[in-house]
Amino acid sequence: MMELLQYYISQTATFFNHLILVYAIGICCSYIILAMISAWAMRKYKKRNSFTDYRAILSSQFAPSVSLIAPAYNESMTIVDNVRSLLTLHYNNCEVIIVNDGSKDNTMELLINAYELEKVDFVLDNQIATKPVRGIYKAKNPAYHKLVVVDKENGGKADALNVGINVSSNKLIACIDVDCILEPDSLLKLVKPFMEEERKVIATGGVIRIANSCVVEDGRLVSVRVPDKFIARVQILEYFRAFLMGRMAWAHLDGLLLISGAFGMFDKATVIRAGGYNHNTVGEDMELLVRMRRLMYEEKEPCKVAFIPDPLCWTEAPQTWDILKRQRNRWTRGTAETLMLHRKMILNKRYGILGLLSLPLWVLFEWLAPLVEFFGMIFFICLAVLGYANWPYFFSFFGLVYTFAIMNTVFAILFEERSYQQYKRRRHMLSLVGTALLEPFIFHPVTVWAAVKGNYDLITGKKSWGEMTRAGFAQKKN
Amino acid sequence: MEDTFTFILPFQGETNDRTLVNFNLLLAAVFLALAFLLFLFILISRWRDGYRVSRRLWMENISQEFITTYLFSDDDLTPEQSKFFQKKYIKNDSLRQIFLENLILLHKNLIGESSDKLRQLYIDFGLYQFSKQKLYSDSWNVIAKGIGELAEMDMQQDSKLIRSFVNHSHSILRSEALVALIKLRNNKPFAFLNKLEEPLLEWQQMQLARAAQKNQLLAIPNFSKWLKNKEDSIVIFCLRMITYYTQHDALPVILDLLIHPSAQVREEAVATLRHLEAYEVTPKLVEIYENETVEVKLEILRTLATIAGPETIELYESQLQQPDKRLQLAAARALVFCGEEGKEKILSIKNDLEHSLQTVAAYALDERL
Repeated sequence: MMELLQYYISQTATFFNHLILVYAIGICCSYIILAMISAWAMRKYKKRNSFTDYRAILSSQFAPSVSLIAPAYNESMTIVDNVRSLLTLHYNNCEVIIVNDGSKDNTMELLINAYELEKVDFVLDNQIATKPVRGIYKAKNPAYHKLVVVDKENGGKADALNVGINVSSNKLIACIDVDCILEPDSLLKLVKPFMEEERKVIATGGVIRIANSCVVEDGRLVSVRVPDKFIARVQILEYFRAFLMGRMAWAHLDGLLLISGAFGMFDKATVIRAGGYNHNTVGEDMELLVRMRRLMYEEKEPCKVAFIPDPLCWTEAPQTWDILKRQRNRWTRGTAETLMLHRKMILNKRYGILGLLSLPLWVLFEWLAPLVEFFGMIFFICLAVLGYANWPYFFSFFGLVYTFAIMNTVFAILFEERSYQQYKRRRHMLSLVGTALLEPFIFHPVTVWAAVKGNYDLITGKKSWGEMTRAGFAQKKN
Repeated sequence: MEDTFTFILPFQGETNDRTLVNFNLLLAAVFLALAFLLFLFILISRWRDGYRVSRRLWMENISQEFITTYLFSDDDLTPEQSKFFQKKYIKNDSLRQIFLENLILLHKNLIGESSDKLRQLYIDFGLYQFSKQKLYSDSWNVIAKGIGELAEMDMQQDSKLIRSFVNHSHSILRSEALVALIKLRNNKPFAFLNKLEEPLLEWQQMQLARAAQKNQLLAIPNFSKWLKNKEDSIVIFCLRMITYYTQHDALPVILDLLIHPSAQVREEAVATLRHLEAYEVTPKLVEIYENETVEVKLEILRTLATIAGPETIELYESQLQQPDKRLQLAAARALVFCGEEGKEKILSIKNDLEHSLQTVAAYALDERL
């Protein structure tokens, strides 16, 4: 009897060994292929862009008008500077809409005082249903004529963005996080794909960068630095991998599923047709894009989602483990919710590359990867306790995964080096390589745990965003 | 080694465990080696970039010094001096390209005799041939670069060759060719519109308009002659250029576009009529209004607000009753601008706090919105 049990345990262990090995090789292959495609797409982009003079848009009467929408919730510490920074972006035909999402602090009062705002009789065209709007404000001072401030009842980020869409008067909308720092020419760069593609462009996204430890002056980034804290440095590497290697490739394959909520530009008519942001998910950015693309497929309207590899927007990454876990928990729930909401598209050839490639790979390698890793580890611990662990195999497999992770990250650093090289000093680059060596031991287990917890919270029905406190950017000292 | 690559099935016992371990270790070694090579590549590329930047800076200084001396020295450059400089400094294509870029940069900022001298230097140093050769490259970006150089140095004799790229499959090369032709064919800058078979993308339209503004064109064509083009984007571009150059002569042809099958063209045509302040088209706009799309209706209301008088009040009043808020607002705005009678109507609605359109009227009257 005992022998039979031992036999079954051994066979099961071998089976899982093989399964996990195949899964790991699948992930490795997908990353390698995406990296190759991304390298090719990046080269092509840089070649094309060498002929671009963005000043042409600045002075042109042909340039499309853009509405910049920034929701704000309890942002009293930085709101005045952030709005000033948005008002000084290089773009002529642009309105800046700040949506105060029922802040509990004095965000609204600060805005009213700083920009000499007064309530106006604004007629809202409620094309997307939202929570009630308390008032719409314009500046008395003509210097701030671009600014529109909306005061509304609290309804979350998605609801605030929907209000902004209802208020906006232009055909293109750019949705941003108000605490992000945009590059002065970021709007010019995001507008370009809408003007240069033969197919209808429904959305454009750009690379988001980590601003921790960078020096900021008057809402502008003046010096790029590698963060002092390990946790923030690792996120730089993560963003390199996600944006420069992942999204660039997916955009090239026409399978991009996500434009970061921190900064993206959309065709307003398509957003409204799709129904605007969904306030029942914490992954509203991904969900909106998938819904827009689904709509275009269902209506057989050819479209494109573009991606710009230029660094356009700088954001503050979580600096403590608790905040990081909350963020990753939310990301996991957002991904899972979106995938479940649009499960009909998965492996459905009606939705082209999205249905046949992007979504299945997201399910397999984004949503399930942390679960496979977590349960694999639990299974291994059980085997070890029972004395059935195959240690040579464990160490060799761990070596395989670890060295792949290092290679993949060094490849991502190479992408950054050969594209925009924001970290110019050699010690910055060496510090990033050093961080890459430690990441799998210190950072990765935390993100896996947060993802597992996210799945658990999803099953138990948790809907909250989780509080995100920010330390603020380093200010330039005079 | 043979064992390592043996195909493995599950449940095959200890031999396969060893094979798997070897397989994992082999892959790990490959990844580690690749990581190390990539790291080395990063270091080498940093060193190489540094070297390239310093070499470029060096060549830029040499080029600028030479060109400034050539331009502003009282003595002419002797053939020996010229040969010496070329032999010593312009040793290969990359250095030649840096010299050329500096020459072009200066040429952009100079006019008259200095500009002519630079053009002569461009020819004497064989840079003209260097640029022209690029037009025979297989790579679109090299051709586009060559076209840009020839256009900047005003090599009009090559406009025919450049014209052969106006229908090229690559949009950027096409764009560079079109912009170059505007510069080079000053007497017929937009003649390429007759030959163009590809759509004019918004980005290209912007580049062309910019090129037309930057280069003082001797002959501005009557853009109405392309308003019957079968390519909608060309028609839209021409309507925009008609607006820019205020070509009133185009009015009769624009009126024909009000029944164009494309709503986008009709919308642009209405906008052009507004910019041209074509008061006489008011009855026509009122006539077509009812059967139009919402977007074109909005454009018509905006246009009528600029060009029409009190005769259109009835139309605006009917639009105030529409369920579409955008139409209500545009009609209210038009009422404000159509004379005293219209403004009074809107004011009376605004002052009637019970009126269902009170906020619409207030919005229309608010100049900040």
